[in-house]
Amino acid sequence: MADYILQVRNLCKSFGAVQASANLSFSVERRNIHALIGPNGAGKTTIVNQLSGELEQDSGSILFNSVDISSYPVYRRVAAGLGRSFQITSVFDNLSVAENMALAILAGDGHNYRFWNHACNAASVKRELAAALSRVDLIDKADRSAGALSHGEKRQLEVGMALVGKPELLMLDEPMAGLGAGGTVELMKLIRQLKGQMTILLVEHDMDVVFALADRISVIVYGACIASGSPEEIRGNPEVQQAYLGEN
Amino acid sequence: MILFAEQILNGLQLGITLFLMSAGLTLVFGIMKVINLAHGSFYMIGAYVGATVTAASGSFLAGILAALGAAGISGMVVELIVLRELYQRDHLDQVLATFGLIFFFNELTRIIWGKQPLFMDVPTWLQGNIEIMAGLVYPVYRLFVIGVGCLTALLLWFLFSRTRLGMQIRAGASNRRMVSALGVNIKLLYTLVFGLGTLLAGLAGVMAGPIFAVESGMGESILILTFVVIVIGGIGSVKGAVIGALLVGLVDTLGRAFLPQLFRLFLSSSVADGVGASLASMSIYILMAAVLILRPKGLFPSHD
Amino acid sequence: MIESPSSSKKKLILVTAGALFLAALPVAATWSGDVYLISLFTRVIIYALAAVSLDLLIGYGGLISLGHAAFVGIGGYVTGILYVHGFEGEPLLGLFGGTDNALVVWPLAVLVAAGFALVIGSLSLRTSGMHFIMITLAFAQMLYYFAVGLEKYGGDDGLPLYSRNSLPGLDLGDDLQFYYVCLFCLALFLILTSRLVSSRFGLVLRGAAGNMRRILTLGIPGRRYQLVCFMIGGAGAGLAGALLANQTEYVSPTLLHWTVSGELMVMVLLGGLGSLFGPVLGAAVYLLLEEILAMYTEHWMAYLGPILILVVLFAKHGLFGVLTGRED
Ligand SMILES: Nc1ncnc2c1ncn2[C@@H]1O[C@H](COP(=O)(O)OP(=O)(O)OP(=O)(O)O)[C@@H](O)[C@H]1O
Ligand SMILES: [Mg+2]
Repeated sequence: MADYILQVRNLCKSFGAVQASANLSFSVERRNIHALIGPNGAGKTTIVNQLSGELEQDSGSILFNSVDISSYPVYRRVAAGLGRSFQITSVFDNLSVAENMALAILAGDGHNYRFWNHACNAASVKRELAAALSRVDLIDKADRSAGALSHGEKRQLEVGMALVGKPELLMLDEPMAGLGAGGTVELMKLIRQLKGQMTILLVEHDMDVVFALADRISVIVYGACIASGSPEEIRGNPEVQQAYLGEN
Repeated sequence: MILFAEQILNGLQLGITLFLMSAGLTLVFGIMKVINLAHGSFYMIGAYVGATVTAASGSFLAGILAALGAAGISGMVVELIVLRELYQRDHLDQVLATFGLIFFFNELTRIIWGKQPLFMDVPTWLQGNIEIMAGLVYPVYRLFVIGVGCLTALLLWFLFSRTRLGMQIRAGASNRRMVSALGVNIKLLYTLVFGLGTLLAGLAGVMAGPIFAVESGMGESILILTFVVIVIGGIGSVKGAVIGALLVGLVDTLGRAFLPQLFRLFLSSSVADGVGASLASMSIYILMAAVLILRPKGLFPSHD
Repeated sequence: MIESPSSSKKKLILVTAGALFLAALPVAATWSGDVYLISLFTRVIIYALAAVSLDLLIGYGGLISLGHAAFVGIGGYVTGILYVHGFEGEPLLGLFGGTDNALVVWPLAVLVAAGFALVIGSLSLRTSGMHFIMITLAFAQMLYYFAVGLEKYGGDDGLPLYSRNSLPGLDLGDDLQFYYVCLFCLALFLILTSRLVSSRFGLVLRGAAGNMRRILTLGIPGRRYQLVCFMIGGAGAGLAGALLANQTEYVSPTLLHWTVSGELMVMVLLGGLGSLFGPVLGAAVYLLLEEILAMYTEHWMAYLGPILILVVLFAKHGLFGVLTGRED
């Protein structure tokens, strides 16, 4: 019996006439890198949004560590151990890089109703900030405004922020999008390092990245999971080749 | 019963005025995403110009036309000079700049017309009362206001649902990107919508002229009621404006008329009048709070 | 806020200069015989306090409230109502007697204002953006009409106080002493808020203003922080209201009128949004401009309006931003 950290059962979500999740089921094993692939508009981001709690499913359930979290608000899911990065980069443009990271650190460190001491003097921030920034290579840009970073740097910051919460399950929605070849290699290295420490749900279009990293792959087409398996199984699956790889 | 029917008519009349105010403003909110505090100023402009032209020409109809023209044209000028710069700004800048416009227009009317309020007579052909049903005698002018409001609502309905311009406006209210993708001249559309909105405000102003005093600052109290209407109805929804306006008009009027009496049933009359009157003046805000709790985006939210 | 070293140095100089100016003003005014300046600047300081509290909401919390005057008014009415009951010896609600002791009245004004902010805020924060602006405005107007309906406390005409509050060891009736008490309150509030905005709470707050969605996905219930911010802002305005009631020895519904909310917003923007010290400058410039324009023309508002529009269109960070060379 496999140890599943996440089980998605019969998830349905429509936007008007579009069925973005169509009776979707798949399971993610603990400490795997599990990739979700599928053509544009297949409904991958919609899945991530429902898992993170930003979108409410129409029906179906989401079990995280065997607990049904499908009615939890976003912050309770984060507290339960779900972390994510966004397909469209989402950092705090109005704060500095260090403040962005400090926020991510403080988020997991009890309540923040502390009104007097400087945020960056909090013990947890002092302890982790430097390491968290250097992990994604941003230590020398710490005082820069995040809004002024390049696209690739924002991505790094974003992934770095998702990492500090030490989520049990980290969802990365197209982390490589918009990164140059160098950035992609760097980020792949980072994800490999994380493997074994946490479970990663990776949405990615770059097939080289997916086949290099993933332990398991689920193929999403028109909101449904048409196949799940090891990279070899997926590569050899005729249905997948026809529905998805065949298009390329 | 008679009293009740009369108050219903009064409520309708306030509702109609509020509808004229909010129909334009909700479109400006919905389409341009700009918050305009100066909408009441065009109500005031309509009232002043209408009163002046009516007095000079002796014709109420000429007054109405002049009010429509003045409010519509000044609206478009303001859109060209100030509002256009604000579309890309955040709401705070919009609030402050249009707040500045209020200062300017209020003082401008004081410079032109002086500090004393103007009083506008009901035109002779609309004076007097008629008996609508046994025992219910109602001023002709107020019925006229209700009639004009309904007619305008019909015209607007026609404009929105049957004409090309109306379709573009509706499309703009629900999906801005879509409209520009369809190749509509957005700048012109914006100016026209804004002008249409201020023209309706001007109409509301001139119609209110013979009922209230025409004075500097008269636009602000109606503006805030208009906001309440829009919050209740949902930003960008003309249907919401209709329902919200009637709801607010009726609740406000009936509350003022009957709440003090209601409280007299179980409080001493002086206390009841006090409590009833303050509660009545707060009733629409309580209504708004209730709508907010149940439907934070209003009764008819436009999708975005 | 990200500041270059040169701009934070300029800021330090500017704030020190401002503090020295305000501290020395009454001495200079007494010496030169222009004592009316003391009461004018008392007004500036009190409005500055209200404007700073609004800056906390708008500039840091991202909460564009157009109903801030409500809390000023509540602070004023708490002061006025307690005073009247103390004066007439009739217990309030049949429970406790009124008082004119500032050590009781002012904290109570702050607490009651914060309590109202809790209620209004938790309703208004169900929405955001344009809705939030209109709803805060509408709630403030509701309280305005409520105040107008308070026949027992003067209704439309307002409520006169026959003297200022008493503060042990001091005589608030003396304009000079009252000035310094107000200045002390402003300084205290500025110190508290400038610590606050860089604290953990402040960081979350600024993050929520910039990107609420991201705050939520970090697992922080951002709206609650905004609500607390709304309450702190309301509390500051409540204190300003209590001081204002003392200065004018008079409370009336006009304190809550929405034009006051608008004017406070103007002061914030004129001085510099999100700078805390800027709104002090903004309040001074606005009230002085009003005073000066009124000397030359009865129709000063016709000039103030366009000036305002020009400031909005062309001076993004307000006067404080221009003076400290802030850019971002
Ligand atoms: N908020 C929304 N409202 C309406 N339709 C939506 C919404 N979000 C997504 N959709 C639709 O749902 C479908 C799935 O979208 P989704 O973004 O999940 O796809 P995706 O697999 O992430 O695509 P991509 O690879 O391009 O990122 C698409 O047809 C999209 O147009
Ligand atoms: Mg996607």
